[in-house]
This record gives sequence, C-alpha cells and structure tokens, in this order.
Amino acid sequence: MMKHYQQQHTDIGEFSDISFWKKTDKLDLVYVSYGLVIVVAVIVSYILGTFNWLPYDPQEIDLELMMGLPGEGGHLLGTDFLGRDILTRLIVGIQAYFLPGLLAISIALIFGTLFGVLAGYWGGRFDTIITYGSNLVDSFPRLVLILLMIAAFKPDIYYIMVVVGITNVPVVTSLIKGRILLLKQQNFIEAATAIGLRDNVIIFKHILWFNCRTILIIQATLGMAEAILMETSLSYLGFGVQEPTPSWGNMVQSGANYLLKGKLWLSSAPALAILLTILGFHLLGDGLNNILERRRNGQAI
Amino acid sequence: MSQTILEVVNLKKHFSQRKGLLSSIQGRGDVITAVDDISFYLKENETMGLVGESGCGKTTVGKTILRLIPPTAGEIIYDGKVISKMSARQFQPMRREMQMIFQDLDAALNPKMRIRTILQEAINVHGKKSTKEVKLRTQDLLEKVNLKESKLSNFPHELSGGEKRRVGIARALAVNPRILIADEPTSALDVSIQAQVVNLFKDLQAQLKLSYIFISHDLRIVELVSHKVAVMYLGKIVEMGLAQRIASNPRHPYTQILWSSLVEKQSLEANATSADLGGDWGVYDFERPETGCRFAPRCPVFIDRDRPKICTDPTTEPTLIDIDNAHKVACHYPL
Amino acid sequence: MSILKIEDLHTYFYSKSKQAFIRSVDGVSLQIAAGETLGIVGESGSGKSITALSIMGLIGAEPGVIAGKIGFKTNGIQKNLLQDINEYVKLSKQDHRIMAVKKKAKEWHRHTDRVMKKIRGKEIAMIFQDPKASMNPFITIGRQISEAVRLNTPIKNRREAKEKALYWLEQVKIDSARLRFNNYPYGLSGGMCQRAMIAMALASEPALLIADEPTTGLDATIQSKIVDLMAELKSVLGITMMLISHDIDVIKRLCDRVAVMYGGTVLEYGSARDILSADVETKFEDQINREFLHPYTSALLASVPSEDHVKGNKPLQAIEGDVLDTINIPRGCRFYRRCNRVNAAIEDKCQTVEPQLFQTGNQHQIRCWLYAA
Repeated sequence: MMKHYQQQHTDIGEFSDISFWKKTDKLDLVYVSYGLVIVVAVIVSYILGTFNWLPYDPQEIDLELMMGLPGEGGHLLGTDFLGRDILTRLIVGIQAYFLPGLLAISIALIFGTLFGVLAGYWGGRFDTIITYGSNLVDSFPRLVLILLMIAAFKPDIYYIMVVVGITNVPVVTSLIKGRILLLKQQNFIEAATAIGLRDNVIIFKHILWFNCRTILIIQATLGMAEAILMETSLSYLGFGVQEPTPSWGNMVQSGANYLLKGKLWLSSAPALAILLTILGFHLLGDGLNNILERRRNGQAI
Repeated sequence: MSQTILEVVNLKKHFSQRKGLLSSIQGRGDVITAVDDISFYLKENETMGLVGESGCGKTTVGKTILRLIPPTAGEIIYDGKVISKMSARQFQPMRREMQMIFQDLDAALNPKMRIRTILQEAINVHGKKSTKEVKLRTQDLLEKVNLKESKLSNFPHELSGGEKRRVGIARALAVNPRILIADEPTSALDVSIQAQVVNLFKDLQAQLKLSYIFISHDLRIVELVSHKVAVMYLGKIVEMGLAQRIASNPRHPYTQILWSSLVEKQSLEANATSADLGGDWGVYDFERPETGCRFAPRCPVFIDRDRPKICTDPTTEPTLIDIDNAHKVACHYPL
Repeated sequence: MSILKIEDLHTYFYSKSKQAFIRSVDGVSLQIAAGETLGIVGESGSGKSITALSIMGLIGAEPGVIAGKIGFKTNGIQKNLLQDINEYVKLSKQDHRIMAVKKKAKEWHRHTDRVMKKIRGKEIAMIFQDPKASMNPFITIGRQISEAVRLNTPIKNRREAKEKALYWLEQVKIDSARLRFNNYPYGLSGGMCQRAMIAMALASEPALLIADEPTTGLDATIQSKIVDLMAELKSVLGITMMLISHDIDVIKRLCDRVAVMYGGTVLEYGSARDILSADVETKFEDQINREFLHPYTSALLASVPSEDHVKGNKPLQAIEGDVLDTINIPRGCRFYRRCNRVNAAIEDKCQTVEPQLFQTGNQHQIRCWLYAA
C-alpha cells in the first residue's frame, strides 16, 4: 500500500505562513471594539448628565484654580479659564449634541428609507420625482441651508439638526433604492411576489430587515459622527449652543483664547474629545460595514 | 381528454421608456413591444415549451401570466376565470395556483435565511399551519425534490447550483401549484446537473400532475420535456405545434434555422452546409422592420424567392395559420 | 513541437471564510503543439478557466497561490512563465500540493507581471465569455483593433494599421466592415461583438489563442455561426488554440486534442477522436452498454440531451451527486463518489488512492483505476 497517500487532507493548521492574510479581519474587529467603547462612553455620559450625577457642578466657578492642569485639586481633567471642571463640562457637553444628533439620524433614516422604498420598490413616477428631489437637496450647500435656517428662525440646535437630517435623506434614499434594485435584478422580489407574499412582508421583512439593516446601522453611526461635527463646528462659530451652557464646540472656542498664553490644554481637551468620538463613530461604521457585508457575501474569498 | 387549464388570448405587453421629468409624469415615452399579440392554451398535465432567442419576449410572457407585470392588452384565463382583469386583492389567493422557477438560482433564496426558514415561509404563505404540519410538509418537499435533510440548516450560499435549484423548486411546490412556469431552469447549471433537474421536472409532472410552461433557449431540452412547442421571434409566435413535429418537420424558416443550428448535428467531419442556410445570419443587428413580416430581413426564403412583395407589405404581416392538424405557422411561404 | 507545456500546475485560492485553500487547479500537465487546438472540457469548478488565467498570469498574489511550470516557446526561445515560483511556495513532498506560501510571493507576482505584460495580448491572446465586458465601451471597435495591431505587430503606421484592422474584421466575417469599423461595442449584437473580439485577439498575431467559453451566453443560432467561424479560421490561418468549453459539441467540432477536467485535475487526455468517438463495450450488471473510456467522460456525454433521448423518450442519464467541492477534496479518486463503474476489484483503491494518468494506447491518458496497467 502506498503509505504516503494516507495522510490527512484539509488540515488548516499546516498553513501557518498565510496568517498574514487574516490581518485585515482583525483590524476591523479592533475598529469596531474601539467604536463600541466610544459609543458606550457617550451614552453613559449622556445618562450621567441627564440625572446630574456629576463630579462637579458644571457652572461652579473656582477662582482659586483657574486653568488647572489635569489632576490638580482633584479635577481629573483640570479646570477651564473660570476654574470650572473640564471633565464635568465635557460630560454635560454631550447633552448639546446627543438628542439633536438622534433627531438628525431619525429624520435621515426614516425619510430616506421611505423614499428609497418608494423609488426602488414602486419606481415609475415616484422614482423620477424622488430622484429630482434628491438632486435638488444635494445641490444646496448644507452650511448655506443651516445659516438660512438660523437667519429665518433662531440659532437653535434642533432646527440645525433638522436641516442636517434632511440633507442626509438623499444618501439613505439612494442606498436603499440601490439595494432594492439589486434585489429586483436578481428577480428576488418577483419570486417573493409569485409565492404569494404580500408587499408589506416583502418590504419590511425581506428588504428592510434582511437586506438593509446593516446599511441602516452603518448610516446611523456615520450620521451621528456628522451631527457631532456639525454641532461642534457651529457652536465653535457661535451659532449653536451658547455659553454658559457647555458644548464641546464652545469649549474649544473659549479655550482657544488662551492658546497664545501657552495654555494648550483648555482647547485641546474638548478638541481631543471631538476627535476621538468622531473617529470612534466612523471606525464603528467602517468596521461594521466590512465585517457584516463580508459575512453577507458569505462564500466570498 | 384533459381539460384546458390556462389560456392566453391576444396577449400584448409594451414597455415604455421614459425620458425626462415631464414626459414621465405625463406617462409618455418610447414604446418597446416585448410581446405582440400572442395566443395559446395549456392543458392539464401538459408541458408547453417556449423557445426563442434572448430578447424575444419569452420571459415576459411568463411573468405576465403570473401578473408580475401587468399586460398591456389581452386576456389570461386560468381555470375559466379571467385573471388578467381581477383586482390585486382578488388575485392574491390565486397566486398559489401558478408558480415560477426563475433563471437566477438565487432569486427565490433570501441569502440571510436558512433553507428551513425559506421553505417554512412558503408553506405558511397561504394560511398558517401548525408546527407539526409544517415539519411534515417540509420533509415531503425535500423528498419530492430529492434533497438531503441536512441541508435544511444551511444558508443558500453554502449550497451548490443544483441544490439551490432544488430548493427553488421545493419552495414553488410548497404552495401546491397546478402550473409551473420554468424560466430557463437549467441554463445556470452544469451539464451533469442539468440532466438531474430535467429528470426531476419530468418526475414531478408524473407525480403531481403539474402543467408546465417551459421557457428555454436550449432546443434539445425543450424538445425533451415538452409536448407542445411555441417558437417566438421578436415578441410573436411564429410556429406552434407538437414538439416532435416541430423538431422533425419545421415549417417556418426561422424554426428550421433554429433547429439546424444545433451544433451537435455537425459531427467531427463537419459539413457546414446546414448552417449556410441562414444566409447572413447572426451578422446583423436585428430590429423589427417597420412593415410586413418581422422575420423577412433575416429570412432565407425571402431572399431565395427574390424578395416577394407580400413579405414586406405593411398590411399583411403573416398570422398563425393551421396548416396541418394543429401545426400552426405564421409564414407566407411555409417550407 | 509544442508551443505551450504546462507541468504540474497548481493554482489555489485562499478562502478567508473557510480558512483553507480552494484547490482550483491541482496538478495539471498539458501540452499544445503548433497549429493544434486543445480543448478543455469540464463543469464549473473543474479549474478549466483558472488554468487559462494562470497561463495569462492573471492570478493575483492575494488570495491566489500558484506553483508549477508553464513552458512557453516563441521564435525559438523557451521561457518558463512561472520562473522561480517554486522557491516561494512550499509543496508537499508526497502529492505536490501547496502547503504554504512565503510572504515574498507578492514580490514574485509583481516581477512576473512585468514579464507577462510583454506576452499577454501579444504572444498569448485571450477571448472571454462576455465580449461586451472585455472591450472598452468608449472606443470604436475599429480603433481598438488597430491599436492592437500597432501595439503588438511591427506595423506602426496608423493608416496601415487601419487597413490591417479592416482585414481582420473581414476575416471574422463582419459584414460591411468599413461601416462597422466606427461602431462602439454597445451598438453591436452579442454575436457580432464576439466576432470583433476574435478579430482583436487575432490582430496581435499571437502564437497562442486562448478562448474561454467563446460561445456561452450567445443564442443557439449565433453559437453555431461562431463555431463555424472558428473552424474556418483554424483551417485557413492555422492558429494554435486552447479552447475552453463545457459544451462538448463545440469541443467535438473544433479540437484535435482534448483534456477532460474534473475537480482541478485532468481525468482524461488524448486526441479528440480517441476520447469523444471511440466507444467501448462495457459490461455492467449483465447489461452491455456502449460507453466511453473514462467513466466521467462517459457520464458527461450521456447527460447531454441528444436526438436519441428525444426519439426514444428515455430519461436523461444524470450524474448523481454534485460537482466536487475543491476545498475538501477526498482521498482517492475525485470522481469516486459519483462514479457508476466502480467494481469490487478496484473499489478499495478508488476510495483511498488517487489514480495517476495511465497510458492506454497512442498518447491517450486516463486517470482511472479501470485502466491501471
């Protein structure tokens, strides 16, 4: 008997040298876990802020300890130019964008999904009108719209976030529509209709739940990152949340006055918070996209 | 004599191509005729083959019968009822009577659902059933399509092409249809698997007394499974009759060319004569001529007979005429 | 004199989700002599297209892994297209399959890509299944062909190149070539586009033409016309061709030699006449059948519907089971599980030991224990 043919086939352990191909997978996991940490931190801080479980009072001025460095006098992240605790103000600053951000996401996702389904599933005239509408919205610079909004009404963060949400609707619409068209091309929807499934089952179960949920989750994370960026930059410019209510944007702004005096920490602490948070949301979206979409494609190499 | 189960009368389907915003809202645009006035009937436990080149409208016929796309004109009569005129609500419970097997293997399979869930969903579509009933039915279906039970917990992408096709058929059978419309059911499969599926179709027909409309461009397979064959060219049936007769004695020049083009007939010591019949065949881009017989520009008979006027006359597009005992041909000069 | 000589070619792909190699091509050795047409028949997943892509050097470094030798001879110079690759992969000593890859294999791919650029399209041209997808949709077919002429042949003058391109369009029987010269690919029908694609491939005057499923996806009528055209080109121009198809009728018509592939290996290799027309009488369960030499070839040919099936109204003989999963290749013969000619005398061997290619008759090789010397 030829002994050498008796060896076991298909053993993965042998291929030790190709481990470097797996690297990208792990990187996605790192992204996602970092993102999740940030999201959890933001949510926890938001809850702390709502119930006022804070280390200090955000408005309490301590003239003895102005511009204190981290750790000084029991202030974990130091104090600002009026001696207010930076950590507390960062936590409270989340109030400035958390709910408005959710509003923006909800608007974008709900209307985007609605229009996407209308345009993709029923198509025809709906499709034409929605496409033109999307193009119309897309053709306005977002900042101009926001400034118009502020000029017309008042510099309220919720008003601004409505605009942010509306300007994100076309993105979600086109994603959902694209996915539906893909399914249509594979005759998937026709097959479901033929078997006798009703439209609402097809749309909610098969299209939105099974085929669009990853898109929606990813859009939500990216939308939140965008909302944060929008809120902070407007507050920085003075259009958003006004002093003394803390917001990361106006904290950076007020801290920036002391940059030339060598007090870097005042503005860099909130700036770092912005950077890490937005990075977190983006990486979460990116990583989820890579992991979930690859799993969806299943056998893909 | 078995009963007529499905009848299609003067079916027409036009697709309109919309251009801009305004014309779209008004519903104007270019019109493409996909199916142009076709009629046929299908009897119980019978298979009708629908043959033709890609783009001739054969898939559209299948989808229109199932009301996946609305017909522009004409009637579809199923079991004595005019289903083309029914409202969507009225038609809904009748969906289960007719099912379609799609060319795309993945069409019926949600990639994120296990095979078990896919089948269960189909079983429960028309009236919810108890867990035990569903289980029995699932097993019954698996047995019918010859699929291993272990595959139930798999996801679609873990199956091979042949297995996906079987699941697709099982799903269609789950609702107890009487008519199956199979749209190129074998074209995405390997030769060896193709044969399995063709045999499966034949077995199921004998077992469940199904009627088939078998749409394919593979002439051999159509010939093999069909009792009747209709040959379509640019949206119209140009020849219709018993499968055996159409294969052995085609009367329309187009059918003649279609069958003689089977490469198999040309052996190793090939003589290219049979294929020469086609003239400039395949070298043109064909569009329907404005007037007369739509096949005339490619027709060898038309050229041989020195371009007779009748073939291009706007008033005389040939219609299907019974020339020999239910063998119908739409040609002025049948072979 | 052989133009192409493949020896023990392995092309694997690493599947991340399965964490294992897909052994698409697993030890293939083939030869093509000048002026000859080699047909490769097989089902999907048999590795026939991957063999062609390996020859063209179109296997990416990740996740593709390649090993073996591809000898290519033009103008009297013999080259190994896979030079030095065996230094980058670790082969198993017993059955030569790839066990591991060095990280540096990427560099090798980069290097060999430069080498292949001079050969691809010029010395070896390829025709793909979907002609529309493989032509540039924004350039007229005439220009694409004349550019191929200027790039790959000594003709550099624009006008001469155009004349040459017209000549090739006429060669592939495109009607009123001068008019079609200025057409864009999307304006052509499928059959015509395939003709243009063939013209483009021939315009570089390659030493070897690889046609990957040239008729699949075309309508029956157009298919036979393309086959006719290729038969004519073969006899008139004497091109050397490797024809990949799952359609046995096409192979029968065009090929001098045939390799039947299954699950990444060649199961039968020999002249078309020997493989596709010489049927032998076999006795199976007291019934005399006329079958072909290899059980797989035999079953494959039997599963194609023919006139006999229609007339005799007998069911098609299907090959039971499924196409081989090339990740978990079982020990023993790859076709064993679907084979209907296993007998008691060889069953043990079929199950445990993979047969080699046994020589039967004049250059006819069969990988089956039935034919063990």
